[in-house]
Amino acid sequence: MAENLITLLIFSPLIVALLLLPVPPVYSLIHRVGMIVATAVQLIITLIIYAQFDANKVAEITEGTAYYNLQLVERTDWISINLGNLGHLSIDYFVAVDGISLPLVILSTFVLLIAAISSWTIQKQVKGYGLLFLLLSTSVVGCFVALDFFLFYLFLEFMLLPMYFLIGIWGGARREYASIKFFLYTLAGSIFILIAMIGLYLSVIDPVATGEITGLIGNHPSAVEIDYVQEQLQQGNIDQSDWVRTFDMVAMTDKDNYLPNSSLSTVGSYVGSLPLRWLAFWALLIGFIIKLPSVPLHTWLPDAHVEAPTAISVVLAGLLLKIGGYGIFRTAYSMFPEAALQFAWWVGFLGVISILYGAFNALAMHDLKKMITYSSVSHMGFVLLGLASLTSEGVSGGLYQMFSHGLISPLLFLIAGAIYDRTHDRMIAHYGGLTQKMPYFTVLVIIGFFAALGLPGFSGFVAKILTLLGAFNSATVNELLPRWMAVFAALGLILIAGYYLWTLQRMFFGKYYVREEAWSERLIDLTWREYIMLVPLAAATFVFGIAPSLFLDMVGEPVRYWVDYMNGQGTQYLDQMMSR
Amino acid sequence: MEITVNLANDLRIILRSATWLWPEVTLAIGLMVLLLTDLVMRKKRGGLFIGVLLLTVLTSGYFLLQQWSLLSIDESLPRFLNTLLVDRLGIYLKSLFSLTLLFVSLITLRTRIGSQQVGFERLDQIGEYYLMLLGITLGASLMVSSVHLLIIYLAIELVSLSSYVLVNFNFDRKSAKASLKYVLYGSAASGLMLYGMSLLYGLTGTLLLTDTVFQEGLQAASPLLSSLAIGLTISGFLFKVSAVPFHIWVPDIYEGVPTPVAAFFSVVPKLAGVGLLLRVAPILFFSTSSFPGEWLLGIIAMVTMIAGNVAALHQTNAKRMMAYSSIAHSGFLLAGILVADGWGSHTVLFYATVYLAMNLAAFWLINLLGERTNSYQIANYRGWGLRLPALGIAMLVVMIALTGLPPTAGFTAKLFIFSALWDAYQQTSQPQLLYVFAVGLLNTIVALFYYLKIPYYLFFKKSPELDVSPSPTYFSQILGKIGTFLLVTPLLLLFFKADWLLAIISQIISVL
Repeated sequence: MAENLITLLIFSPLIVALLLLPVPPVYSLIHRVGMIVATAVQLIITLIIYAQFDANKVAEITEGTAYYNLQLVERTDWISINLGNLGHLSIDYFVAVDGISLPLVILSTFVLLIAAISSWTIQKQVKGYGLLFLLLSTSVVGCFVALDFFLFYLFLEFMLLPMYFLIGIWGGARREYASIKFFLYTLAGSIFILIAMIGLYLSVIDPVATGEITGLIGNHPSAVEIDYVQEQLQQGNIDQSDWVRTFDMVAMTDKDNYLPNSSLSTVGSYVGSLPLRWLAFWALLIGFIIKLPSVPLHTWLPDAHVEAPTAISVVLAGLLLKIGGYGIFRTAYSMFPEAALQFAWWVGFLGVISILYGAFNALAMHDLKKMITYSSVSHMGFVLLGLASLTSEGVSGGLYQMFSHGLISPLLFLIAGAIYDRTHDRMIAHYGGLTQKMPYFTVLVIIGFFAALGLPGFSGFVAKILTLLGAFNSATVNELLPRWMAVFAALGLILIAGYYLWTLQRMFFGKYYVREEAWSERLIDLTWREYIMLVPLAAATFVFGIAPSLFLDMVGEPVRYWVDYMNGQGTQYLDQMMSR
Repeated sequence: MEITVNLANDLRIILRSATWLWPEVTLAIGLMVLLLTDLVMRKKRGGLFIGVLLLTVLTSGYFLLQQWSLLSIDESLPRFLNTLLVDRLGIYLKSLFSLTLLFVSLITLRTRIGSQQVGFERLDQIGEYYLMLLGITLGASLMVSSVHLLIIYLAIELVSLSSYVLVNFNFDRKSAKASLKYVLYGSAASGLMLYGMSLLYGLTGTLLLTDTVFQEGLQAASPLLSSLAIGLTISGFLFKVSAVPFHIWVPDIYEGVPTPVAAFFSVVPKLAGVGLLLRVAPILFFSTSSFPGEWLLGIIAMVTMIAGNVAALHQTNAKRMMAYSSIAHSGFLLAGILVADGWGSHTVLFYATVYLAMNLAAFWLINLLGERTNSYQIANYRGWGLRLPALGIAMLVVMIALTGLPPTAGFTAKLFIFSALWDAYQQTSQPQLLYVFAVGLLNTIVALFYYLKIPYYLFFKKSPELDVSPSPTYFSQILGKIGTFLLVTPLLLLFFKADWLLAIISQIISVL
């Protein structure tokens, strides 16, 4: 039980889904409760994992890789293929958590539970909705704990299908257009990721398995023994038929595991004057910034968000966007540190552009949900900026921004959903002075908006301050980002404050006004079900705003280690490539 | 091939060779039995025909299994003075053909119960239907077991001639048009091929491709002439795998013929062509320095993928869409053949097997939906996914597999092909491999767009009114469910345990 915690965490919604499969659609109550139970179980398992997780326990086996405190590792052979003289191919079922992924897992299970509660209002085909939602829950969480690239890719792709149907069947008026656009866009991203994945697994070997096959080491090797295998490999002493090609994402971050003369090793192939490694970095980066999304590849998001039902918007904004950021961190950056240094300017530039472009767009939006969507684009820009800085403040800020936005954006989408549920209209200009009609709702809106615009005391503030600090420091610490980027990002903060306050003023303050008389009686204050969803989210942003150490204690050490790794390895690689 | 006077010796060779020919002989005997039954019987009985067909397939399957166990990996027995080869590659592909025949029996059995009319008669009561199916299978079996130009030509013609008849089986204008188109294209292609073959014979003095004399003769010939000869010969093979520019006949055929025949066409002749190319491509394409075989095949593969996928975008008829889809898949198979030494040939065989499973499943489901809606128009599928969720989900899985997304075997198959391409690029740095790699992957996005159309209509659109046609009988429904289960499960299973199939395939040819 205890050693299979993560497996249980991933697959508990799937088990519930299988149990619900024979229940006829007419018992919609059972399906509704099933969703909530499954996600609640996931949250409980996550809390057990959190209790067992020891942030200071360093995993010795991952020495030399980008991973610091990998724990609760579960690893079994899944598919292994003997390629004869070409060696072996091994795909593992490999899941674990570390200080980076654990906060995101906690966030996921929390937001999924809120989304499950929010799904209560779904009336049409509840059974189908419930089953798809449970599939989505499995794959979202699976994405954050999978450490085998094949498994990761499986979960990543498997998210698209439920999402496509959830938007396409239960969405708004233009749902069909939005869902197909979402699917095609994100699939295009996945294809870029797939390209890099194929190149990576054909270039990387698993030192442990290779050592076992050659008989160099035993069953539970120490770090020294692994080093020995890697050394033998680099010197070309291991026969090709003994190579174990792997999808292991941890092994992919250690340059000693790259086959000498393979296309993605440091002295790998060139296409024209560009190293193939850098092309692979860009393939991964493009793949994930489509999911993040960052300008200019963000155009699917407004459509998807506006048409999606509230609960799905919550999952989309709260979790799916985070997978983009997480993917950049884990793959593009960790696996190609020298490209991360080389192209830091570009990544930072994309971040700043996203911040500003998203904010200006948000200012211009008439639809409340669209405004929040563009605000998401803007907020995700900070993630890119923080990562690009490659300083510990910047990177923890970027990660904190993902976490904090994962709490705030569901809150905002639920707010938009609450208004839409009452009047079926989301136009900002159609309302005014709602405070008088819905005072408690307004309080929560104010909390949500202030948290989003980065008021001190809320999680958004800490995240943005750390990111900006990192971006400023970068100019002196590692000279990756010019100062003006941080300046412009800070300017973005003002814009963000601008559109939130302006919306607040237009919709909630001033003289009471609604466009149609009939709406007045429907605009009642919050129901208890809405309180259940909104209050925990608002409380969480507050808690993580005044006690950021809750988060930073988890990510602090791994991030410090990772930043050292990135800067150290990256410079070393660059030197090697330049001297060539 | 010298003609000896030692009759006793020849007879001995023939007799010894014949013992390895039992699978084909069984097919031929089954064919003749069917012919006689059809002639003798006044009242046509579909059950009897299906029985004979099943018996033939199972017997031939038994002999194939026996041969498989007698041979070892990489072992190749030349028979009949080198005109035929018996090896595990051939046996494996022949088993795939047998599986397809089993599928056709199953789908015909359902037709029998469901009393589906084809022209004036029920499909299962037409004796020629079974006859021609066996004829194609026999031809295809010979195609994959020879490297002798004469036998290859005869085998291809056997497949073609049987196909010409089978195509006309809807007995309507459309069917006749398709058939005529096919005959014209087919005879033009075999004419070209025959011309190429005769040039090859003239240049080298032998018909046996593996002969050293053949290689020497080809090297000695003028580059232009040898390129012309190879190009013409290959065009006949490409016609069978329906590669661009020899693909124009495909959509009309698929649309015009009954669904089981379309399923059969999409698999057996194509895989026979793939098997043939696996054998002869290294000899014809890659060994002649004067002939830019890698480039040519790479370009054909890319164009085939693009043309198939782009043309499929506009289709409104499910069977026509599947026709273009099968063209696109030919492109992927050709991409695999491009790197078909060692591991590459494993990936091609894996892809071919998965392709067979996907296509049969797709046509099976199209057939089931066709019974319900009386139509093959995708737009008429609207709402059926919600009415028959199991069928809808099965269709979704198949379409996802055809696109090449996880968690289906279609993804694994594509992953392997592209891995082989990257691996070959890593070793040889030939740029066309990288182009094929990139074009192939980007094609997946295009493919998603049209494959999703079917689930889109199944689930997103509201059904306009009540049932168009009565539901099938109870037994027929059960058979439908069993068939669906049998066809869709492998697609999921081979994703989660791809190594099971690869373990079998790795018993055929060893890597390098």
